[in-house]
Amino acid sequence: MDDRGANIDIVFRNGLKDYEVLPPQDVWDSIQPVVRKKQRPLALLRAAAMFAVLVSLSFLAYRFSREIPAGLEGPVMAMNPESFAPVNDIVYESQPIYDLSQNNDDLRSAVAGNRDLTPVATDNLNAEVHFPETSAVSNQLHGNDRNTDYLALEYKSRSYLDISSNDALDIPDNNSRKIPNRWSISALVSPTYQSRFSSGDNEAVSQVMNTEQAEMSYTGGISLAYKVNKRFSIQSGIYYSTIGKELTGIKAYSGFEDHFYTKGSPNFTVLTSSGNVLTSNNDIFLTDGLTSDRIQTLYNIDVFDPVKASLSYIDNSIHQNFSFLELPVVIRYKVVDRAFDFNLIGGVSSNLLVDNTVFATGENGRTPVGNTDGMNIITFSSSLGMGMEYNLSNNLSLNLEPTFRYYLNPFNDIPGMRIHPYSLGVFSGISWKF
Amino acid sequence: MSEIKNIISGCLKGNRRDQELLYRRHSARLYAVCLQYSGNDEEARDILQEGFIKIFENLANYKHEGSFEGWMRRIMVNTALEKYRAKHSLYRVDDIDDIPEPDADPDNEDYSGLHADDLLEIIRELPPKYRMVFNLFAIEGYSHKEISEIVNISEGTSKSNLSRARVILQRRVGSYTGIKKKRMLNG
Repeated sequence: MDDRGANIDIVFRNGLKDYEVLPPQDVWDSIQPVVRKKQRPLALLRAAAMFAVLVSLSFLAYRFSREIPAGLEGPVMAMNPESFAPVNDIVYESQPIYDLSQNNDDLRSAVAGNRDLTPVATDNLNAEVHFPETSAVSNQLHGNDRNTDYLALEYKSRSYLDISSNDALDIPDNNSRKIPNRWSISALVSPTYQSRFSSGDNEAVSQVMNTEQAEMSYTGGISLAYKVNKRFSIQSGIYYSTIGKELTGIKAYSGFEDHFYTKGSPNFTVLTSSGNVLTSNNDIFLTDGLTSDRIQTLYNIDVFDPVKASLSYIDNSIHQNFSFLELPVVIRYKVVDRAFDFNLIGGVSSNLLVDNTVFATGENGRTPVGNTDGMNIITFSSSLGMGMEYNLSNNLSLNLEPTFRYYLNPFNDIPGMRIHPYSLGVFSGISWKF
Repeated sequence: MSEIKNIISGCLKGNRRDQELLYRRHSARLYAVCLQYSGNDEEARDILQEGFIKIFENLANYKHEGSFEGWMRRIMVNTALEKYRAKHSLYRVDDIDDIPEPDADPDNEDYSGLHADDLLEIIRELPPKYRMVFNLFAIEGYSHKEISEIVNISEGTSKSNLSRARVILQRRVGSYTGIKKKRMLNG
């Protein structure tokens, strides 16, 4: 019998080897939309991040190209900008308001060019007064005799370096020392893609990670920023963020309430890379379609058949979701200060876990399953980003901020494994300065 | 980089053309596997669809170690196993009684003239529990210990199911070859 059995085995093995049957045409039509739908959010996020990086690099290049004038070949001055003031910057006393009832001769002499006006006091004690009509624009700078520390005083021409242009040289004056609108309040929201860095030798968790898929998550909130000086500002606020994973291959059924018999303990424990999921909904039955190691239960498929028991199939996966309240402290450095600003952003956040749920999604919406055991209530994360700010007016601006965030401590203590999540998001929003 | 690596790389980037190319190249071979593990065409179609979705979702996990076709085949077999567990885990052991008696010599070991589609038809007529064990043991090469873990049965049950499957298959093959010979003789 054994020989004949082995013989029949060979007949079928060889006979069916390389056998091909064309599948029905509509199978691919059913596969394609599912595959594309799952890939689209990630592809869109990548494209958005790539676009943001390209825009940022373009602005950096633009910034550097403006900082290095093409004709800069002459001697370079080393000077204390505050020790001099260009002639053109002298401030004239405002014209007095003439009372028409006064002698018209006074008015006439003033209008006719009475030059006997007194300049207001400036920082430059020896500054000369020049009138636009009678004195050509002087190419000579007149410094403070008591504190002159510049090495070269003559410009070849005005076009050599336009000192009236604020972006060429940061020459502080009375106006620039005053920073208007030190405060700003912003509302920002971002879709975030999350993944993780892992290290360790826990084989079971390593295998489990292959069955988990990150889901598109969202972060949003309000922040308040204080402008310390022209470049630096410090920002804090409060954000609400979600992080989600799909645990694929875990089939969920409802209607188990009438069949379970253990009281006081979870019916199912599911091993995940974020910790063990404990079921709290006694109506849920779970079975693992991919591996036999993820679910611990008394009700495995050998002792209970959900199909035979006519349980209602919900889905082929369950979803693990965490929500956090974030309190960030962020430093912003303004690299480009124009109508379209460019900022470098870095900081840390403390994240308070406010929601920890596991659910299954079926035709009737979400069905709660349980929660993840042993999660750290507080985690800390660091962030690094680039901020683009388009000023719609003096007070209002639009923001776009691609941001990378790395969680400094794991969500949960997994034996033999260190898992640090990270996320990539593109924040967009609006700011009001006051 | 080999062509299949290029296709996989394109699929990972979401390239629609590469995804379709991968499907067109391998779907016929894998559909035959699905038919082999299923009792009807509708079930085979579902296995193929779910299996290919898993293949695309898990392409990033393929390490380029070993045969890519073998990797895909294992996914299909696992998908078929999932379906089997969900539907047929409590199939009656005495299903052998449902098999019609052969009308030809069961000891006939002349298997010549049997085509792959004949073999496929015969194997699909097996009760699911026997079909699953026979496929895993005779075609995929798993041991009874491995089958007992995969299908959640004892090793003894696995051996018993295989033995019964072989008896049924020999009878059916004998029946097929007998019928074919009669037809040839009759002209």
